[in-house]
Amino acid sequence: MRRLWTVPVIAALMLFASNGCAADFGPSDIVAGSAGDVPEFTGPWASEFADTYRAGSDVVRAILEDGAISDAEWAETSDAFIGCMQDRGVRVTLDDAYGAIALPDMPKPDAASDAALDACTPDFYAVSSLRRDLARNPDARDEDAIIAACLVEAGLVEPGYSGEDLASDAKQESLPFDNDDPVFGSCIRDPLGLLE
Amino acid sequence: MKKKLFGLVAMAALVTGVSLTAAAPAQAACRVDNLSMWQGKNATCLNIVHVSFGSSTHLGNPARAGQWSKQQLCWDGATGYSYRNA
Repeated sequence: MRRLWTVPVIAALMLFASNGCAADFGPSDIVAGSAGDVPEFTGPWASEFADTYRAGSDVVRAILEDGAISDAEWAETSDAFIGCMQDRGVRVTLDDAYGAIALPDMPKPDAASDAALDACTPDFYAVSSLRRDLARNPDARDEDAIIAACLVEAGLVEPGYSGEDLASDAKQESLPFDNDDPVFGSCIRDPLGLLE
Repeated sequence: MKKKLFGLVAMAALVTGVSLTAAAPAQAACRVDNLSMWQGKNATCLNIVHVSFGSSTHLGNPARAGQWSKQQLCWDGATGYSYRNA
């Protein structure tokens, strides 16, 4: 038993030694080494920018490094995604300018479309998520609170219905209105009325 | 630096015996609330998209934990829904 335990440790130490790096890095270097230096993002969505930058590809990092996503960068990202899917035999169209998409020829997702999505969506979703966040909720206000306020404003719930109420009702699957009420859908999509 | 990182990761894997491809804890506990034909709330997953299908397949906006993933449009002929990790 003891021998079994020591084999991987010795192997690991040998691997370390062969890289010549046993003494010159620690936890902070792991972050830097996995994503390079992360720019100092500012603003309400700074931590999401940093997280996405850290986990993103070189393409994503190049887009995010100035802390903004231009229309041209979004167009390039969308075009690359559509082309990537086409290369894998799956036609895709955009349902909106924030990451919603359609597979017009697919009555149901299948293994081929799933594989294409797995391969092609990482950069697309990394950029579209942030683009949606910035446009839809620029001050990063509490998600449940802004949707609940929208529901009150639209008359779907009584005044006083709060973000805490919405969070609790959603968790218990007991919303006080039809799940698929279009007003609810509108409040989810654009609670502050800011999207195109 | 890549080499250095590989060295550390390899050692961690060897010592702990943990698969590097294992799902992260957040994904293992992945939960979507109020999943319905046109939307669902990402409760605990890293990222999800809502999926609706019928005559065609539609994937909603990607949503982080705490956000809702919603279809942009409702349409005739939708027959089912689900979600996928994004």
